[in-house]
Amino acid sequence: MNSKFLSRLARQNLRKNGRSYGPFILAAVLTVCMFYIISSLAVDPGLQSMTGATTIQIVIRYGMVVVGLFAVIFLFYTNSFLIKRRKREFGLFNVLGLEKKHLAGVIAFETLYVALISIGLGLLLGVALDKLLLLIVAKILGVAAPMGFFVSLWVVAVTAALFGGIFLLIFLYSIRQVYVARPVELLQAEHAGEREPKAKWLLALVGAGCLGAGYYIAVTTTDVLQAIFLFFVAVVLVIIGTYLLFTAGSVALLKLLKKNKRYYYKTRHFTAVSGMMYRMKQNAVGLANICILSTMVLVMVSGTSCLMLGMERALHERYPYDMNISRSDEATIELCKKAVADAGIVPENETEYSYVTCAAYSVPGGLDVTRDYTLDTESSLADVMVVCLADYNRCTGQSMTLGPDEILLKVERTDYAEDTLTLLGKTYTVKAQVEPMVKYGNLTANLTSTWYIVVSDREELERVDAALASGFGVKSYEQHQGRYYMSRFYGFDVPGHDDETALNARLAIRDAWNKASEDESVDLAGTYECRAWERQDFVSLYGSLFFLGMFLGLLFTMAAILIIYYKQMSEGRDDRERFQIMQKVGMSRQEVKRTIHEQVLIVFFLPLVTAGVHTAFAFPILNRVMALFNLMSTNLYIWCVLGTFGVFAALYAVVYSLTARTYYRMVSV
Amino acid sequence: MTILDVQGLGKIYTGRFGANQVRALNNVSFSVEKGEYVAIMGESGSGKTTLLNILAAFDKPTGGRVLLEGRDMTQIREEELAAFRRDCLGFVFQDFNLLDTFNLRDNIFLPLVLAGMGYVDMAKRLQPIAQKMGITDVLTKYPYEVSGGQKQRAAVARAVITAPKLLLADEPTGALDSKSSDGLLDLFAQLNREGQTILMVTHSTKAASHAGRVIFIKDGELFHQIYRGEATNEQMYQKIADTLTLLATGGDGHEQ
Repeated sequence: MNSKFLSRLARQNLRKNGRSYGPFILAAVLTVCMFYIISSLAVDPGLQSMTGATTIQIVIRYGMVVVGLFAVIFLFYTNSFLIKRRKREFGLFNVLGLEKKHLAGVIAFETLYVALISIGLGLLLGVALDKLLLLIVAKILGVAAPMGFFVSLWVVAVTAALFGGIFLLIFLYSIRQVYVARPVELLQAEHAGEREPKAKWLLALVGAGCLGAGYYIAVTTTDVLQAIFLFFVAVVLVIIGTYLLFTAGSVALLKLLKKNKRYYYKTRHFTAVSGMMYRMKQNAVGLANICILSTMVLVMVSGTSCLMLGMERALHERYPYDMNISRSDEATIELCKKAVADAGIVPENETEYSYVTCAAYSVPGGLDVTRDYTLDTESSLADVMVVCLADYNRCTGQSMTLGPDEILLKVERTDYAEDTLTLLGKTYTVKAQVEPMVKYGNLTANLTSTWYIVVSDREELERVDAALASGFGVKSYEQHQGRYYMSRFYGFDVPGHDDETALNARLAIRDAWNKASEDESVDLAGTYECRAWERQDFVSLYGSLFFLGMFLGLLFTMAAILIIYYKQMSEGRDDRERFQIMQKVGMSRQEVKRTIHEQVLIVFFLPLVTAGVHTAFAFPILNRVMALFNLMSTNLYIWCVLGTFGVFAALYAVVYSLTARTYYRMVSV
Repeated sequence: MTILDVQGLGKIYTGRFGANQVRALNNVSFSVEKGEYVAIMGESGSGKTTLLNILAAFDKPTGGRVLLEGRDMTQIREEELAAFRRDCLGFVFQDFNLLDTFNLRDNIFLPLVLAGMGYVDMAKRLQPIAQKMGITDVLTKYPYEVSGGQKQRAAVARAVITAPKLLLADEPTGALDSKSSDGLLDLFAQLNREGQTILMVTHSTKAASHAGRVIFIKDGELFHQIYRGEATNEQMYQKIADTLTLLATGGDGHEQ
């Protein structure tokens, strides 16, 4: 038997199985294309020349690994569906006289064709779309995209090698399936495994337990510092729980329903319950996969888009003024003011105040600054910032008054309900908890609680400073101008918040600063931060996360859709027989249609609904994880999650209606 | 009393683009009395399956009428058809057509559940039938766990549990070994003695020899029919065999 014949047979087979191979090739093409694009972006010289590119390319390189791993699992998994469906066909060929080595030859040609088409088209599409994606990245970063067209032979080679390897694996798996089976088995393969599934109560309970534990962790974890680690624990628990509940839990539930004779022997439930039982047996793992994929899409896309949308707000909290000079002193600030004035920039909204900051532990009745830092007390860690009333009133436009031992208090990220507060050996009366406060960005990026304390006057502030110094034992380098921990903050906006002016102000300050540093007698203190300048860093981190989130979200959505399509199609044939029989014994066409609709609906939307529930339970912990990225707006995050879910569900519904129609055509008698 | 009246039935299959018209049935007329046991015989391609499909309302004729207790089946609307089939007709198929997702009991219950009957009533009906069919012990088993004979008896139970006016059987012994076949044919005879009207399509001489009347179809036309009269099963078998020989050797029918 010559290879010409085998290759022709392979081509025929692919054409004949177009309905199942078409989507597979499409998915392979898209996967190749996406892998090429993300790899290409990772090494693109044009991207390298953009500002903030280092962060982006690091993030994108992570993405490249994820896409590569995903491609292996996804294509291998989808192919195993196809081979399972075609066992009968192979059995027939075998019976008709094709030896197994010939079958292997046919499969080799088939895989070769699929591989060539997928890699070829995928690379072409990738090269074509690469530039578009680069433009999108540039747009996200808000910079001009580099000119020119870039094709990296290295990336082409890596892509071809990776997917060549994947298809080789697929080929080996397929011929193994053919070699281990006998022809009769191949012919009957599709009818195997019709045994009614057993209810595995223990597994179902373990699954429920895992899911419950995961949810519990997600809902009850309040400490942001622990959230990241616990988040992964919760994720693993929920994944295990999902798989167990889909596989064992669903069958157990259906068994319960079946035991209830009043419920089970109703026209509507009768066929649905027994049908679902078999469906779950065959598809539970696939449905759980879809559910996990969907959850990943929801979490990833909503999280990254929320970061992107909330970036400007986070930026304003972290850098309350266009220029912020903190941990500084009067002399340094004077130098900065002069430099700004010399540059011809008129500062607006100028704010200046003195303050003392220190780390402490919140203890009952007050704050303890002397205790050693230990891990187990982490959760009560507090940042304390003390200002005097005069500065407070001036900076916030208030006109509060305070007695000598009275304070105003503002506590963030925790609550304090007591009337008195002890700090450094002195007990103050909390006159009021106030909302407006002096703006100080350094403390907003914190995960610990922040305590703003307004004391009655400058003398009290100095007393706190001195007490703090004696409590720790003053180190000489922290001592200047008779003050210990006390610093000064100076912030101002530029006219119209113009980025360019702000950057010029920063340049003026930097130059003056550098020049002054050359003179050994001048002692400069503090740091200067320009919002417009820092924005570039924010954009490159959040922007690249956003891009990657969207990119992977798209990829996973495609996977989920394809898996669910194959699920339905592979069931169509079995169901066709079943519904034919039901019609013969007196089920009307309408009833058949309704039953089909209900079952498809459940199979389709069970994963989506579960993914929605997962996301809802993950919300509290994710919200806290978002805090790590300076994002403190719960409202925005809620909208992002709802929006993502809406778009995803809409996409899902479109696929559902398409699949349901094809499916009905397939099974209708 | 006539339960089934087939009048001038015709069926023409039209190929694509109107080409290749195939006349599957041509002017077939006969009637079945209440309590009768009729076998329809014919070779493959003689049109007997087409006839059964029309009688079962799976297919519509291109000419003629089928009256079941005076009601024209060909005029029943699509929406009512399922209920009609469920209430008036019982089916036994060559390949059993049991659903492998149900155990035997649920398979038998299927038409009743579709008709909306409660569990207690269904169980009451099932008990005597299951006993008669000898499947009481295997009711909770699944189709793949029992023998072919048991499967077919479960299928018969499913067909008669609705107390149909007419029991239609399509090669009911076709997939059974000889012992199971004998058992099934005895069962049919017993059902018939109890008053069940049966119409069976078969090309097994042995199966047909149990019937009270045998109708022969050739090339879509009614060729001949013989009545049992007082004959034993063996004599009936001989009569049928003779007719089949005549049929096969191209003997002249009534019309030629």
